[in-house]
Amino acid sequence: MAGNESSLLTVRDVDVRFAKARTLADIVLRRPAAAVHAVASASLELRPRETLGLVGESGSGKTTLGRAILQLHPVAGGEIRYRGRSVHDPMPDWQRRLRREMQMVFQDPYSSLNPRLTVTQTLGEVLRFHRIVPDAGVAAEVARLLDVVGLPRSMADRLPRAMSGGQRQRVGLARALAVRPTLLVLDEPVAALDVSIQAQILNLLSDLRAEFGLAMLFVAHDLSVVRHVSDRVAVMYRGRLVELGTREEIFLRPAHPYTRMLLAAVPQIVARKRVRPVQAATDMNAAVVGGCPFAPRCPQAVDRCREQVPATAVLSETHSAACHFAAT
Amino acid sequence: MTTTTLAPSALRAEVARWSPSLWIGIGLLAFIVLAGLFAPWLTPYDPLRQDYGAALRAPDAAHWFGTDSLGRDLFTRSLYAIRTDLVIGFWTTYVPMLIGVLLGAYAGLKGGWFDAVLMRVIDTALAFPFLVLIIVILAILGPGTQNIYIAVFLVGWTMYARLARAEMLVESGKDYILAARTLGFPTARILLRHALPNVINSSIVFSMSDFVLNILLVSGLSFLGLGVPAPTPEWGAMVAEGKDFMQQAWWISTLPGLMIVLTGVALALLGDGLTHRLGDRHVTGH
Repeated sequence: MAGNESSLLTVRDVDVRFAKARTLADIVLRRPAAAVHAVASASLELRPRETLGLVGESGSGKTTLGRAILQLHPVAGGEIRYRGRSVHDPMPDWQRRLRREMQMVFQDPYSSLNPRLTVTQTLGEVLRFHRIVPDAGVAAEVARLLDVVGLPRSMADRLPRAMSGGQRQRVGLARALAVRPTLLVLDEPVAALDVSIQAQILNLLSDLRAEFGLAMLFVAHDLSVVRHVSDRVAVMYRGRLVELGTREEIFLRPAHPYTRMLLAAVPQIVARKRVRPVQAATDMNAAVVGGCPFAPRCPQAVDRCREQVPATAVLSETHSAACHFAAT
Repeated sequence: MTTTTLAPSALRAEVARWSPSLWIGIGLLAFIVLAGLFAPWLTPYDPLRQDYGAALRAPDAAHWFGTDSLGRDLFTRSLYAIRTDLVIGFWTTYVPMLIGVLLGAYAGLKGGWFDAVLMRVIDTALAFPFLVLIIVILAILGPGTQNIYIAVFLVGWTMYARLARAEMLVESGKDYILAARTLGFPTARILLRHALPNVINSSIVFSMSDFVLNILLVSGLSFLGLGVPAPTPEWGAMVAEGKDFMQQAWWISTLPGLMIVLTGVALALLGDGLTHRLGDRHVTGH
């Protein structure tokens, strides 16, 4: 079954598990190693030229989901389709095409570049490997990429250690853009940068999106960052998608208590009213076996929340939330 | 290839970062290597020529290191032995290093059954004392230079594989390796071009002490009669020959022994200097 015609990327019921090391007790009792559920039946869709913000606190599985889409983590269940075709289809031509169409920008600009390669070497390798331009045109293409990400051409022969965090992040972006992708997964691309640099990179991203018609999956823990760049926003909590909606819906009419908590944590210049502080995840392991995973931290939780997993309530064509009280 | 050609100014900047121990180590080693290369011009004697009339002479102006029981000039033999020992030391260090680093880095990058099997093989090999294992293999194969190579190649790679795997485990989690995978680069390219240059430093530093240990190993084997066969000048064999004459002729064992010490010191200083030179990349790198 091909996915929705209008969708570029379809993620349906995806599970990602991390196996813990098999302990002696596991071997004696002949049971498999315990597993951590990093992502549990996550579903989302990304349309061409659209930016979807994926937010959640650390440990919510948002980075893992982003990496699973690029096949950096194996998927335990569900399916990920790109243009209607499974990304796990092993046909070499398809895999090569996927590598050119989907790219990733990483969080840590200090470890995302090979410390021994200059900017020209890093970008040139990508251009030559994927034959983006003829070999004779590599130098010119490197210069063009530097212009695109706003780096002076004099940076071309620098090693990463001679560059600032923001400059390195621009090189990481240029490397991803070198293959001329359609879809960019951005894993917290500004979280490691100074606030003033963050704004520059976010502006650059909006420009690039407009210029190249890129679709983006923007992973972040900070709602205020996502607000600038996203058309739609997905909120994850402990491996599950708890709310999905357009930017306006999420920021103006949040339906899930966790989304409201995250919004309350966004610093505001003028406080509109006193907000309840975010409650820390005191005891994650207390998470209810048969109930809503957010119940232990939820200010609205009632007995029903601890007993019954909430179904996803559809609030509008674009807005849904996994909460018993979402519809009210 | 991975580094641009060193312009004269870049070379000068590189040299300016050398520590005193690196300088002294390189100088001493160069001195030893040159002495070995130019041995025929540095001494009038033949290393194999016997002269019973001049046996057991103490060091003097004609024989700087004295002579042994067969009247051979020990200074000449010590110089020619540089060739034997450094060549054997080089191969017994760097062939295992090449094998070990490749296997270990691949295991660290890929994990899975290959990693599990390799690590168990290494655990087993390292459970035996190195020298005992070598002696067992030589007892099976018989003594001789060629068999020393085979024995050391069989066992010597294990330490390097372990080192490279440990470094690779750290490196393979870094985002630039993930980025290379995202770009669809094949494993061989990721391993050789991206990972190896970043995991090989500790092996290079370790190879300096390993080089010394291998020279001592060859000397030790020759001392036991399992090493380099008789007339070839070799420091360990010379020390062994001198042990029967320790009372009358201390120089036969002592002076070739000092050559081993000198080479050891040179390599140790070089290793120490390299540790600092290669290590400071990590400091400035962040």
